[in-house]
Amino acid sequence: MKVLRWFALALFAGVTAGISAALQTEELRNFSPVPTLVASGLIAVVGVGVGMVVKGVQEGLMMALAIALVGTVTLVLALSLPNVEVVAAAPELILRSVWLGAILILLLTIIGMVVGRILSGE
Amino acid sequence: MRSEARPWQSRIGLGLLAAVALISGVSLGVAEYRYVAFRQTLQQIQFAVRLTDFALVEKNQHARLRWIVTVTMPTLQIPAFLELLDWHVRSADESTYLGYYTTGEIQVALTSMTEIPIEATIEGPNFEKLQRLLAESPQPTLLFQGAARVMFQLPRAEERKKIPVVGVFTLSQEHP
Repeated sequence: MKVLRWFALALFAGVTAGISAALQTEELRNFSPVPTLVASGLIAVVGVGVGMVVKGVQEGLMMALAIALVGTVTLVLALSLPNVEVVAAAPELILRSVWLGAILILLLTIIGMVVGRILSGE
Repeated sequence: MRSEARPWQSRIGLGLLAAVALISGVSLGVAEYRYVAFRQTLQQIQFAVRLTDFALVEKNQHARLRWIVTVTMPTLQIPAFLELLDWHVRSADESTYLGYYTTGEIQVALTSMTEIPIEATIEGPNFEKLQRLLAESPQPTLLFQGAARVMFQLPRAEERKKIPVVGVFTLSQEHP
């Protein structure tokens, strides 16, 4: 895969996974139109989608790490935007949601990618 | 685990990604809009306590007080209910305590401005303390200290917030 295409995919999938992860956080889950389980499922579907595009274990793992990184940044932004003053004064308030979200993105993306590769016939 | 991905697989994968991006993006927009509306409502909620009636029945050794608690929520966008838990009456300098009262478990559906009538009957030792206060000053200033539980009906759960309600009022024998 060409480098630029790889980065574009990592960015797009990471932002999508981060947004999905934000929907199941403690702060936003009660306000979300989708249930927590569906939000987690959406992260896994991101993994499935990426799994159908990438090739090879090494590329897949690197893509999962890139998605987790971009996803975590997106998650921080999604939680900070409606709480700018609060998060600026006490960033530790969203810390728990952020690290839980980051782990969830990484795990569900890898699981989704494995499923994606199986669906692709590997 | 290395093979050439067929073009249709990549297209399905990218299609899945686009679909999730759309669903997640719209859902996050809705969730953040509701969250901001909830926070604004919480920040702008105001309580005002006004004494509407005061009657001193010395023959029966009790006093009856009636208030109107006005709840103002200018940007109410989420259905909410309020329950006045209990309230305490004491002198403004907090030296004399005149008891605590409750309405029981009455829930009121909130609008942008809701008026809740409440009343208390002061009797027994508290009535004697009230009489002493009235003897010291014909128009004593009293403090109303209560707590309200506001229950917001969020899309996926009920959020409960306990909010203090404080008011100062003056007793007058000729009230209202």
